[in-house]
Amino acid sequence: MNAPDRYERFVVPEGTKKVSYERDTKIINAATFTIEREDHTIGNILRMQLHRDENVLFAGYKLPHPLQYKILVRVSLFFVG
Amino acid sequence: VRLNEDDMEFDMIGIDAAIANSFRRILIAELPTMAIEKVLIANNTSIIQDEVLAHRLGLVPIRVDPRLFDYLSENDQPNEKNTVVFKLHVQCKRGSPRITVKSDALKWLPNGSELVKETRNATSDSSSKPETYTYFGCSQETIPEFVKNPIIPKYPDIIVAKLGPGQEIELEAHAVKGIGKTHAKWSPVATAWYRMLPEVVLLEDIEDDLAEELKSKCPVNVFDIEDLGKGRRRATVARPRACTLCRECIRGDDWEKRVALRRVKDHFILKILEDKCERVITELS
Repeated sequence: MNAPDRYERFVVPEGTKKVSYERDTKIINAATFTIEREDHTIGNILRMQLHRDENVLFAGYKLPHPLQYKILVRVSLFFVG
Repeated sequence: VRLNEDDMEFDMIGIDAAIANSFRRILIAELPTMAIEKVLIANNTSIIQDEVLAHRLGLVPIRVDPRLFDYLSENDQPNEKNTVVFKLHVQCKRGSPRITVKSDALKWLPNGSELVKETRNATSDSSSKPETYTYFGCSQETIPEFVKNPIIPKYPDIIVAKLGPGQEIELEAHAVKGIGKTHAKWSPVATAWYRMLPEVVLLEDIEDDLAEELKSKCPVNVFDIEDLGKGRRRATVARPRACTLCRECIRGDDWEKRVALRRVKDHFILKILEDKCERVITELS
């Protein structure tokens, strides 16, 4: 009854950007990317590839809620190169 | 590695677990297929309810290449580029025994819908063609791929409904393109899974009687005996791929020391059971 429509899982509504970006205030060289309408399929691969980069100190992703179709990817670097 | 009409198995070596899993997720959810979405029911006097019948029809796999079609969104008219129309008309006469309606009763209509829309305008009749539920510009039979392969359901013996005497079903079904994320009927695979290649390592040399015992233990015959000469025999691992990790070879007293079961870290075996096999292969290549 409260479930959103199934096509919401991949259709980005008008006005919202697909990828948005916010710098982290408390930690230097860290940021959070919000990618709309994606799930583990992309998130896990992104995270794996970020781990392979040498400049990356911290990389992780999460789905804040399974019924809200977006992922948050958090990346932090050793230094801004 | 293996490719049949209905399933396929292949290995990917040197990749990470995340990629194998994403592969599996994409195969299940994001490859497009055609499936019946709208069912226009003209007459249904059977005991199967309308919505149950429509649900069952949606799950019937259809043998057609989805790349030849476009997606149909809400504002579009259904035309020959995005809809495939099927018709089902079965009747069980009084006095004749019960009939089972199988999926081969679905007939493809290459010219589009035959059901006439009720229009309020009395003036638009007579001269022009009556308006139907689809707006086919040209017949789908003219598309070259369909000339030799008419569109039919993939398996002709799927039971859709059962009719008793005097019952009738008459309906028209429209199939559109979609992906598995929206509804599982659009998923091209029955299921897809992966596993990592098992690695069976013999920690010590196992000879003679112990070798025979080891060979007879494994239910899938992973081990083989090779002769060393001088009458001694040694056990070797012949088919690690077949190993199901049942751990039968480690049972018993001392076997733990002799046999270790592990997984090779980056060797993945993916297995896919497919309803519409051709589509998945050509989509991947």
